[in-house]
Amino acid sequence: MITLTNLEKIYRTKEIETVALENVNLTVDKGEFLSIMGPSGCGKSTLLNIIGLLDAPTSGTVEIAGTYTANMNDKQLAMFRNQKLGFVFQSFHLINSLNVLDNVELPLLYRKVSAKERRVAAEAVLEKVGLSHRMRHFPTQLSGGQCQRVAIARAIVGNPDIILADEPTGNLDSKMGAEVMDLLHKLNKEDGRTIVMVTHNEEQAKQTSRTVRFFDGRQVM
Amino acid sequence: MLKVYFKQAWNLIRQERLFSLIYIVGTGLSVSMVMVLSIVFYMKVANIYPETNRDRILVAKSGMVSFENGRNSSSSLSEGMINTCFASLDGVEAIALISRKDGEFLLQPEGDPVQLPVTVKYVNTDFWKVFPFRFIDGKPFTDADQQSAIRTAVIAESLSRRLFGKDEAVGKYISLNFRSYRVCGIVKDASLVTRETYSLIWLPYTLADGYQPNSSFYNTEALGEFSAYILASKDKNLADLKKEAEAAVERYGKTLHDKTFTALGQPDYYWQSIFRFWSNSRPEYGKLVLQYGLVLLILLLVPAVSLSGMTDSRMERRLAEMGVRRAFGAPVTTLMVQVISENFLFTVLGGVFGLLLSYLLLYLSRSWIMQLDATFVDVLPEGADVVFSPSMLVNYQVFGITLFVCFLLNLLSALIPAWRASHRQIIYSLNAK
Repeated sequence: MITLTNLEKIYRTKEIETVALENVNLTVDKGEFLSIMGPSGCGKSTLLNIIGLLDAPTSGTVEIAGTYTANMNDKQLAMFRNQKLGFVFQSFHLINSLNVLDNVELPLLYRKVSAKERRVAAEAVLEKVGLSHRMRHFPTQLSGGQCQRVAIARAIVGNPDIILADEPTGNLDSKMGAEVMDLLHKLNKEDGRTIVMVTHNEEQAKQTSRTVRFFDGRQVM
Repeated sequence: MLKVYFKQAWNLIRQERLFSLIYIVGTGLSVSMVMVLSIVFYMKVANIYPETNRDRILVAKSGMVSFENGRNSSSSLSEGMINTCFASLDGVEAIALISRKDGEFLLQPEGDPVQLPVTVKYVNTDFWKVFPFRFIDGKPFTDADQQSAIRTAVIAESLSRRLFGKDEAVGKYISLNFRSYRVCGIVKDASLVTRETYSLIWLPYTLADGYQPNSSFYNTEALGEFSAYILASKDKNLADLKKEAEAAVERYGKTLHDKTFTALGQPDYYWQSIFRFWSNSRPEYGKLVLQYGLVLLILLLVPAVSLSGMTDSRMERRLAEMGVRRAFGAPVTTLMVQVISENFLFTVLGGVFGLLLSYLLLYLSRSWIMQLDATFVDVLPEGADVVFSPSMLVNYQVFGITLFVCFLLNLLSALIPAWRASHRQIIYSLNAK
């Protein structure tokens, strides 16, 4: 599903050159739930951003669902992300000036789906994450756990093959974190979605199908 | 999509009330400046009562005669010149003559020792065809009245009420400079906005002091006391009529002995005539349009720079949102359209405020604002007030201009912030606090 080959990411300024990722080779199979672990600054978020086509590698190739992404322009990348990928961020990244329903509809907006269809799809996924009673609320009126469930609903509303989650429980207490993890496992097992998750939590990593570890930009296990 | 953008913009207005208020008021102030100028020019050139045929009118106000001894004379036009040049042209429906011997006269109301200063205009019978005043009672004076110089007068409704109250005024007499005139018609008042036709009393031009048929000033034949307003028939192309009229003026000039005559490019289109202040020089219309265009552009650019700064700071606060949108599939161009569309809502709200403010400014400055572009300023007739009728201010042309100004201001103020916000790296945007 995802193949990274000889991936390298170097951040350069006038004075300093920082190697964020070095010679990363990684394959993620369809339907796999992969967790990425490592200390802060080891490059795991950078890796997730590159897989999510939010950032470009300095060298190496990224192949997702049989497509090499290297020569895509902004419009093609946007469309690819929209169709194939769903994102869950640590800090939720919900849009405070939109209500829950409008936040969830966001990916469908860029597919030019009609308003009615968007509404039906968004309502369905909100039902799935157990927030159908909060549809008209604004993010500032929700708890952290509810916000993250809205973010998950937004990630899956477009029915993407891959969900990329960057420390999805990092800002939640243990109870809410467990709820979110349950939801992700459900999406993996019942819907067959491929999930790549960055986490610091050993317990959560153990529950996934595979864990890869990074240290100083290198894959160590 | 636009509906979603506007919905979000509306939510932003509600959530960031102080910022939105400052932005909308700032936009309103700049829009009001532009709108004051735009409405003034609109009122000067658009079809407004009683000058509802301005788009079919050519104007010849003046000419210049050069004698063989090098002496030049310039002035208004003679009746003979106007009739010779324009009356027989194909497609001319009527020619209004307005004498320059107008001014303030004293009216002696019956039973009142206090005399009333009033404005009087000397006009011909075609004046009422070219400028379709609404007759509330009676009729215009007739050709026979005009030819025989019978003392008849058309008076404004406000004057009629003042002199005769609710009584019927037609057929009664008024005393003007101690001469008696029979009232033949009452018209709905014109505003001082339409300065060329505004008056309280209109008399046949043959009643003007010293009027002699076919007379001219300084023995020039061509120069006299009149301005001509040539009304083209509805099926006549105005540009063609202008060319034919210019050719007729040239032919007329050649018939004069020992002197040359030029109307300096006249007759003008009505919009051109508002820039013609001097009888011996031709306005440079291209330069004038450029000057006014530059003034308008500066009036837009200066606030656009500060509004752009405000938009930019708002976009900085929304940088993470831009990152999220791009992550979920928004191309850069779509984001730019979103930012500009959202900002348009702010600008339109500011525009509505600005338009209302411009109405207030126009009202407060009504005694001088209509002469903003004048080389010299006419003193308002005593007791007269510039009245802006609702139709002058509230119409689709003014709304259209406001919308266009908003569109332009929005583009000037939002384009750069939109470009900056949407072109940032996604990761940088997502990590923005």
